[in-house]
Amino acid sequence: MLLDQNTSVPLYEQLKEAIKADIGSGVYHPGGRMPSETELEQKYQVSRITVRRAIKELCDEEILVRKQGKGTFVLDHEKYRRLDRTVGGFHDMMEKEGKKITVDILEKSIVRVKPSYARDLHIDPEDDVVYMKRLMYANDVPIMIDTTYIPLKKFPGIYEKLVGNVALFRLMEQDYGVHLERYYKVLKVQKASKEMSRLLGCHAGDPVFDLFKVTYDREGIPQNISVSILKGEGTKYVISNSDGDELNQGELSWRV
Amino acid sequence: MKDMMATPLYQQIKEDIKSEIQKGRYQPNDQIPPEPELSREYSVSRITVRRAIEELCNEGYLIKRQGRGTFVSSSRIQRKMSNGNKMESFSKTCQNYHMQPGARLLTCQIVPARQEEQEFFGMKKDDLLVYVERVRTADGLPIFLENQFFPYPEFRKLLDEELNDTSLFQVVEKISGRRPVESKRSTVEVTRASAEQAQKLGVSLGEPLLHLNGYFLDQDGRPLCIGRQYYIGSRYMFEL
Repeated sequence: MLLDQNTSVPLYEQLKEAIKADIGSGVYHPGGRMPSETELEQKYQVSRITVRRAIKELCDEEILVRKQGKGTFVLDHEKYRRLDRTVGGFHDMMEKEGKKITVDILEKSIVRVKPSYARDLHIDPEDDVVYMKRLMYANDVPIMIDTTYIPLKKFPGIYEKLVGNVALFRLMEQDYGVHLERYYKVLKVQKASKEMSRLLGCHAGDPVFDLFKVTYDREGIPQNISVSILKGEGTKYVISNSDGDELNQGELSWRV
Repeated sequence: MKDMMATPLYQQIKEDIKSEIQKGRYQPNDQIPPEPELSREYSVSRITVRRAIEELCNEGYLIKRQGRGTFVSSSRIQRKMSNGNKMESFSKTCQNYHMQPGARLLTCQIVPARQEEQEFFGMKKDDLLVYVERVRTADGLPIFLENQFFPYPEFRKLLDEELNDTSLFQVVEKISGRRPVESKRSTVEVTRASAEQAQKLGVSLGEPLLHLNGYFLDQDGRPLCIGRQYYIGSRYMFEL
């Protein structure tokens, strides 16, 4: 396939469009590997610099993804829910709205997780996992009990960093260079246990939301599991096609 | 108990009992051994056993019956059903689990549209809706209560259709050619079953329910219906 050397549209732009068209028409499959740079040079009859620039920009646009040592792949968008790019964890959302976030770390230890969690995290059942249970407050009102499981293998040294009012997703992105992108979520209702009712300020037996989340990076590799418990009363979970899901509680609202 | 590093003991016991239930060693409505016996069996304190049992009760696996003991819940296994915005019908979801979908019609009548409904459908103040209320079952077991609202008079014919054990959306498509394609924004809340809901679903008053509201457009992007569903919390979960 030859690109037009004579128009004013830069070659790398034309190449981007050509690759996008090929993805759309099924020449390259979601999740499938792209040809090497050399093969692309030959196929489209352009220089390596042109290929490199087109690929880089398509990666930035999240149409392709580079996997270290393995090649460049077409991103498979269908598999997981797409997160808004600016979304972070609870902290980011709350801070945007000017709410004060405080956190009590209730429990922190190194554990082995049950088999279904090990499967979800793509780790061995014998692998060490950091287990942390926190109570999150917004403007001094307890909002949710957040339990998270972080494989130590992927995040060496993270145990010592989990202190005080740590914003977990921010820590993972800044200190470990992870781009958290997608979730797999399961939403259920449970009856509040005595401990939940004491922490959240409701009655034992009241309905509470139980949101189980596996977070994946840009390449679809699981990074952690979290289970969030929120009071049922006054809480709404909003499933949105375009914007990403949200939790609303009274006047608070944050992406999940 | 397995020598697992730092997994809380009560959690190990929970998992063990859960797995016995799922494997069928404990059948629905079986009584599980009393605390002292479980305490001996697992070589742990009664407090540990009690905590495991309490959590299994809260998660719906076990039920305490006053003065009689603790029993395996009769209809516990939570089904992961794909939901969110994909318009997979309940009938289809049941088939994935090899369960027989069912629907029992409770009401089909004409009602006035409330403000929120008027706004969605682009209606005027005195416009009306066709309201269909059904209990949806899987293998005969009630799973959720379904209230659907369609514009009147376009869907007046629903009043004459057979709505038991049929796919409502298939009937809707048959009479109008319109198919629900997506809900732009659905909300999930949790609530406790009112007396009326409890009676219709066959659960206790106050039983936790997952309440899903969906606003469905058809294949041309026009508002088609509003669906309000009340799922028995212990029998259902949403995979998003």
